Amino acid sequence: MRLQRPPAPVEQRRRGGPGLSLLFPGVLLFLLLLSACGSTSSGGGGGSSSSAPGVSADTITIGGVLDTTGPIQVICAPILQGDQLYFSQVNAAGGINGRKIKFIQVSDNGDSTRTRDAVRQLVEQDHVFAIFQVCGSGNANVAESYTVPRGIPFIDPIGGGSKYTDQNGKALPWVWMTQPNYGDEGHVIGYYAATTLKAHSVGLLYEDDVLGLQQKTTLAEALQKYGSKLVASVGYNATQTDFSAALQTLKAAAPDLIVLNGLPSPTARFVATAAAQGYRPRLGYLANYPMADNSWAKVLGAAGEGIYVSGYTSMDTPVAQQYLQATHSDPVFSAYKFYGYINAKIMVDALRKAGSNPTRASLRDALDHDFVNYDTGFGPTLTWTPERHGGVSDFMFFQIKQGQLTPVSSFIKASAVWP
Amino acid sequence: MLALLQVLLSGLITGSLYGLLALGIVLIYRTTGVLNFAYGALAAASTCFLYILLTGPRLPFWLAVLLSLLFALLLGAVVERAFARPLLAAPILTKAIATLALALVLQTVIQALWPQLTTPVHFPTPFEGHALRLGGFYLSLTDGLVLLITALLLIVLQLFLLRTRLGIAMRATADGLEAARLMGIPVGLIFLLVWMLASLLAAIAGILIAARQTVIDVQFMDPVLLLAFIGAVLGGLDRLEGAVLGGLLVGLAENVLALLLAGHSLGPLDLGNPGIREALIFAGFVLLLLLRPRGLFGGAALRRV
Repeated sequence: MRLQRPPAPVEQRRRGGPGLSLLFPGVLLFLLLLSACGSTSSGGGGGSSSSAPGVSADTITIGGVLDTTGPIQVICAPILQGDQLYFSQVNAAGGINGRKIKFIQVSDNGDSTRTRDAVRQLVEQDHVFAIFQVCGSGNANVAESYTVPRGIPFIDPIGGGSKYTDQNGKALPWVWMTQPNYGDEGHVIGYYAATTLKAHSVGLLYEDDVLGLQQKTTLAEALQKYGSKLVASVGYNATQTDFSAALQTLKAAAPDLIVLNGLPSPTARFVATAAAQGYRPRLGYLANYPMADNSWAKVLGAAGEGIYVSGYTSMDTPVAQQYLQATHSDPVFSAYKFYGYINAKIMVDALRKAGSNPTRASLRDALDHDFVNYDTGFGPTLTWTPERHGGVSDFMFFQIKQGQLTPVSSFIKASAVWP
Repeated sequence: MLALLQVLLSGLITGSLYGLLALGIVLIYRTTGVLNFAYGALAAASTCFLYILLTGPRLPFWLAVLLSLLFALLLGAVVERAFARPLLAAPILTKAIATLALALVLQTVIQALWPQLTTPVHFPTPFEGHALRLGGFYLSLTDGLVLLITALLLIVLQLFLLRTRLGIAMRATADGLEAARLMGIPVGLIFLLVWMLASLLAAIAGILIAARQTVIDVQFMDPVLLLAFIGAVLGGLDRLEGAVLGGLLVGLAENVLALLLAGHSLGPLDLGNPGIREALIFAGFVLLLLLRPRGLFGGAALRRV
């Protein structure tokens, strides 16, 4: 217990103790012991404000890796704006228990081979208290391989292919998802396509990595369960520019509906290729939630009209109204920016619940025990327990009408369609 | 069968665009010894400029295209004078690496000037939604224009290089710098014109690709450039017609393999996987170069004895 007390100032100890030659090794040993104790306490128990990295008397520093320079900036850059908007509101209102939030963002250029260095920089140079958001499923998975063994809280890996369980299905101890995963989404999309849209046969264009592979399996499962069938699936890679062969392969299977999985730019190219070749499935397309933003509808142009899009955020909540008021001067509504805003709110709530002198352990306690049926502010509720670190699993559907995403369904729980 | 024909046509169109880009790459390489990895960024710069003209002042499409092509000529001249000329005597590797830096500089400048193009945007053209249907066969107006324009450009370029004094001077400079200089050819002017011409070709290819994809951003040419380079190397890097044929081969291989391999597997290996498909294309490329190190259409190496 004595070792957990803050050390006496070095200057004082020099004045009152033995000579320098004797003192130096002792002080060194003392500091080493203290440092070892500090690192233990940050992972395992409460402590004063100075015992947790990134927490000072007036600031809590957190860090995130969001691509603002590379291929997924279309999603990550507006998310960052939403984060900053909410944090600035909280700071303007006095912060969290008197501490302002300092959010350090670095860009990995959307390249997961750079993510580890970006996270290391945040942890080892900027000494952040926790990681809040790494954008991109593959990027988030790389970040987890760094944060989990070191006991660094990681809240909101962005991307439904992000891992939050180990290979045995056990919750990773330091990772908390807010987003739904693509597996659950595949089940709900399959259910909606078969029962509401009455698609008897479905084709799938999927990104051939963590974004698409899980969804390919769950979509096929749900379609089969609800009397429909996945008749063709074609993978693509994120940098692919020519979709003619993919189109012909899917077209040959004559699906009623094509599900588009992946990212905004390649899926838009596929739709453009199909439009240029005069093809559109009988029921059109249904895109998964990375495309749930008006910017995607705009990129598609006229070819996007009538396309269904899966999503999980509703604007019929007080937080959404607060967001709309704060962004009334924005030229268009950005679902990505709103995502940043509401997740920053979740992060702030977690920091508040972590106590007046938060440590990484107290933050973990709060995340594991104080988020039961938590009102996310975007519709679905969220429950985290020590055994469950997954995100929300409720989805709703939109349709592009006059270039705008318009809700066409209420929320559908993944557990209701695939118990 | 119809699907295969449609994919062959698409491969031909994609390949002709790779060929057009490969042509510009070879033109610069042969004349100035620069392997220009900034070629995609040059194409993107002019295409982004066109997008700005179309969506900002909302100029009529063809007027905006004309201004963009003039912009491309100017950009080629500026790059030659400010970048390529000072590096003329540098080793070939130094020049190649320097073009990578140039690409980054160009992309950064475009991002700073037109930040809206850092994310994908819709590229509007008057051809969108128009097509010719022949039975089950479909040719969009954009694809038809791509075929027509690339074919015309190749003919005009070939005539220019073979029949005009300027074209002959360019070829002479490419064949031997010192000899050309001794013959009184103003090689400095030729270098300038080659960069301008290559920049013009890049702009045309970039605009056609953007019109086809209907989506652009600052980096939209990056994945295309790699395949164009493969086309250029396959074609031999020293023959203009080889560059075009190399580009066509890459475009056809990319499309036909994607169609034929879809849904097939070899044991646990899913052959339809895009990674496998790309690996096959690159493996074929390496194999061809092992068999023919100077490319499919490259000339024999001359050795003085």
